[in-house]
Amino acid sequence: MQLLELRLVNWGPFFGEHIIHLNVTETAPVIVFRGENMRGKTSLLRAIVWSLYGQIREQDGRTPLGVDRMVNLDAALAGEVQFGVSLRFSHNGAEYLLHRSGTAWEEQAGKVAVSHISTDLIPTGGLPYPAANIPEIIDSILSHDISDFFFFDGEMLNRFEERLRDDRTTSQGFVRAQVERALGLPFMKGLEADLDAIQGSITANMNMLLKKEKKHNELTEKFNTKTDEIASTEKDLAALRKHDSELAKEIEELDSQLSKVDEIKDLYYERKNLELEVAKAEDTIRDFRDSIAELTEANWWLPVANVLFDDYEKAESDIEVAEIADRERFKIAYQIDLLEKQLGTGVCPSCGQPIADHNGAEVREEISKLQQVQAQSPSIGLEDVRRRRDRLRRFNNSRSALHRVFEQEQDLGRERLRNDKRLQRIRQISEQISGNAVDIESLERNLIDRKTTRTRAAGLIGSLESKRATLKQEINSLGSQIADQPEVDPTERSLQRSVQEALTIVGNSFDRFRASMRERVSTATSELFRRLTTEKEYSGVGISDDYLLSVVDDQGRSLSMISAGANQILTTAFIGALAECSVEEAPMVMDTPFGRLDVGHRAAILEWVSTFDTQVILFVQSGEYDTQRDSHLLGGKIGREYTIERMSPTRSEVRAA
Amino acid sequence: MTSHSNPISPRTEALGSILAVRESYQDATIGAETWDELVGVAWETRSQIGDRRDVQRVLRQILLQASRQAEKE
Repeated sequence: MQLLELRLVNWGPFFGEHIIHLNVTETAPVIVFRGENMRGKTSLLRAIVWSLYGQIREQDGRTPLGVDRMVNLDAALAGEVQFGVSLRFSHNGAEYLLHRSGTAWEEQAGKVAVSHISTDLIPTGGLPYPAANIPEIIDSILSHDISDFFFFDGEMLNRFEERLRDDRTTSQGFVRAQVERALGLPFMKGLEADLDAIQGSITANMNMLLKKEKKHNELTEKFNTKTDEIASTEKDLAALRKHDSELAKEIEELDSQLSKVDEIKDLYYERKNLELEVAKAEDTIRDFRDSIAELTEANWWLPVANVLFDDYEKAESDIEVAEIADRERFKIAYQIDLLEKQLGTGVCPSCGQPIADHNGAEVREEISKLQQVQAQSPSIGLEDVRRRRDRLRRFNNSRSALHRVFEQEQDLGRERLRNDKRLQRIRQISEQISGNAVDIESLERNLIDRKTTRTRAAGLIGSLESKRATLKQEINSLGSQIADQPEVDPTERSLQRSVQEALTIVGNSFDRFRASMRERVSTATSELFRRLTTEKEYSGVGISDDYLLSVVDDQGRSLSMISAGANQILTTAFIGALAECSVEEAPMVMDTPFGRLDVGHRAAILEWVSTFDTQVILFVQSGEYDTQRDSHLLGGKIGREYTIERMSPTRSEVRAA
Repeated sequence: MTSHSNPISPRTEALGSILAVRESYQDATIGAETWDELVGVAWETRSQIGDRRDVQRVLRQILLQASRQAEKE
């Protein structure tokens, strides 16, 4: 199967008609859709799934999602509109057009109603198939049961991952049935059922003949009684199996509801933790406030700390200036003193040499100049300045005290902001929790009740199956006795023996067939896991009879704890191996599949995708795929590339990149 | 898929399992070719659910021929 073209009409964020070409070649089979969150990637995946099966699910992968939620809101607001999806695809050399559409209108503000959903499947050049046959035809092309292995998103991967690691009976049953369906195992059971029907018909004919001949009455009566008995047992078995399957569905539903309750429980505990954090943060806030109050009380001058510090610094610098001026005045006074002494004695006081008389006028002039400079030099009271500085000395750390208060105020602000966010989240959680009226206890009681009933039903089924097997043996033995009667046509007798031989051999071969198919998928999963994982200590994957997965280390030990990323790689490897071993051939459509993966694992998956020769459609966002960085990993296998652009909150467009 | 050609298909695997069991079946009369035909019909019609009487007629015919062949031998 290859998807050739997707046509959307008023679907999701895609207003009006959008045609997206999807046909690719074997040499370039990869289609990449790039778009940020909320652009419509999941809407495109849902369009494909809805067109094929008429059903879609929410992101949790469990809850059915009404198609009314996929109608473009702008279109619905405009009045009664058509919406739908057309998918053109090829399968086994033939082309088909599958069209599913309906009418939508806005029933009340923000709520869309839909009606007149219709489906057409038209083979190219042929007549449309009757609507009633379409599900069966689509199922024969790609069964809905196994479509999760081909069309999946990150959330569905998580859900499948849970099931593959969950040892609950319901999960095991679900996985085994789905996996065995993908591996084509039921066909052998079908052959056994066909042979059984042939055998029943041959023996019944022989019995009828003997009855007509009115011979071997006891034998024919016994045969009739036993066949009636087996028919009634089979009827009971069918009723019980139906009941069992209903119970399985109910258990699945209850499990799903309880898993939602798990989310509520998680939310409850998240709120509880946040409340504790809020209480702790309030203490911290109080401590900050106290400390700030203490600092401001002890340092009452903090509001003028800058002025005080400036004053202190000014006093220090004034002291410096005063000291220099003082020194200067002292120097001048000393010089004047020397010159005056020269004039008085006529001898130089420093060297003792006589001073010439003609020099007297120059000395007097020099003294006069110096006296002028002395008169002009500022007279700063050094002692006053020093006293002022000493008074201000206690404020010399006022800046750092102010800084400390400022830092504490910043910390207080940050803590308050964090607390506001916590309180906001608490309000959000409270709203979420209050809107949910799930009675957890009653759900758990119901689940236990259904499981107990199912266990009882399984016991009854088991005893009826063994009764049926005993009856079958008796009927076979009676059948052989009937066949041995001389009135029976030798050809019929011989045919009956051949059918019996075929029936026995097919019946005894099933377990061997199942084991060999499981071995195939196990080997393929291990190979793929080793290829995708970047952890060298992982040597492979163990798969139990119920397809529970475990990672095996290089010592051959099963590892109970692996990282979330390794878990996703494990599930991807299993799904990839199943798709590879599957009887169905279909495109692999992956929506944001690299969510929890690091660069190494992402690269390994892209390199693996580059080995495909069948269609692969990747919906990715910039956080997980970057064209510049990653496109080379796909080794030139990209056949088409699109971007999904957001035009408005309710409209997006797909454009060729 | 690279190897989506399924080098060993479930049909081949099922036939292999049947022939292995047949080895240990006392007085087996149905030959490998007949088994191949039977498995082939079952495989090709695996999607046909509901009324399978036409499929059963084909299977019966194959077994009838096989039993005639066995009688001749």
